[in-house]
Amino acid sequence: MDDQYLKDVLAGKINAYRYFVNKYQDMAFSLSMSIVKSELVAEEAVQDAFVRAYQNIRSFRKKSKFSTWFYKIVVNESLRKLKKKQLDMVPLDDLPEPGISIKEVLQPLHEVEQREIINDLLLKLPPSESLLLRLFYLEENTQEEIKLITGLSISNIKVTLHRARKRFYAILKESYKNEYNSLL
Amino acid sequence: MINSDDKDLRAFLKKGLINIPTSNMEERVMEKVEFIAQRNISVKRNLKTSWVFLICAIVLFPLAYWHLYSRVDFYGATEIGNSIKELSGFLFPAGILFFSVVILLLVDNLIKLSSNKNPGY
Repeated sequence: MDDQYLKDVLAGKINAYRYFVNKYQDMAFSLSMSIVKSELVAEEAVQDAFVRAYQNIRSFRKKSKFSTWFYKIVVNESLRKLKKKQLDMVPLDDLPEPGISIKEVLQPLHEVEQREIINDLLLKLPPSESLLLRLFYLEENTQEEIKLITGLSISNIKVTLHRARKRFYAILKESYKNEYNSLL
Repeated sequence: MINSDDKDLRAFLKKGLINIPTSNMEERVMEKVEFIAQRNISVKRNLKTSWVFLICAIVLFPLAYWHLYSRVDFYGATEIGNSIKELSGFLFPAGILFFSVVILLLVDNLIKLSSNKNPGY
């Protein structure tokens, strides 16, 4: 489907580009939020990413999926807009092993509440960890595709994913231990 | 010990897709895309016009120059003509050199602009 609309855009049918905006805007916004942690900045980054993708669409060589190529642009635009912040994070070394199950904590909650909690937790993670969790679990990109999008090496991706999972569980337990305890 | 059931994590993170809050992202993007597309068309048209004018200049200027140079003797009868004759030995070759340099620079610029597939935003 992407290929057909891509051909139309390259042939000069500008309106065909709406297809890509509709299809990828939410995921692009999610990825950008992982990095910039601000809705306003993420919106700007996504808008700029779409415009930049259009400007460079003739350079898309189809060696990867369109989404991989486009998400790389989103990541680059988001990094451009990123201002360094200090996040309040529990140092990883001090964390006890969580010993919890996500299912047990979140299952009883409504889907909307689950989504809010998940995004709240992802916002507390460092940009690189939050981004990799979204790319790997949400978008189901392979490690090779993540390497193309982020520029990280495979070993770096594996290490960061492992660290991200560990920190995610730790923050989950720390943030929702009351809910967790009340479920027991 | 971490209860790292990856399937559970994947299932729950799948719910982490954030819908973009603004409803007019598509319109905002398409407005800029249309501007770029129009600008690209305008740039291409201007480039074609520039090439036409450049070719005309390459043909017409030497003709005009040769015409003037061939009439230098015509001015020989007056005092002004004598000065022109004296200077012509220097001015005309210098003029040809200057014209050649300018033309080469213009051709170089136009080739670069014409081969640039992304004229810019």
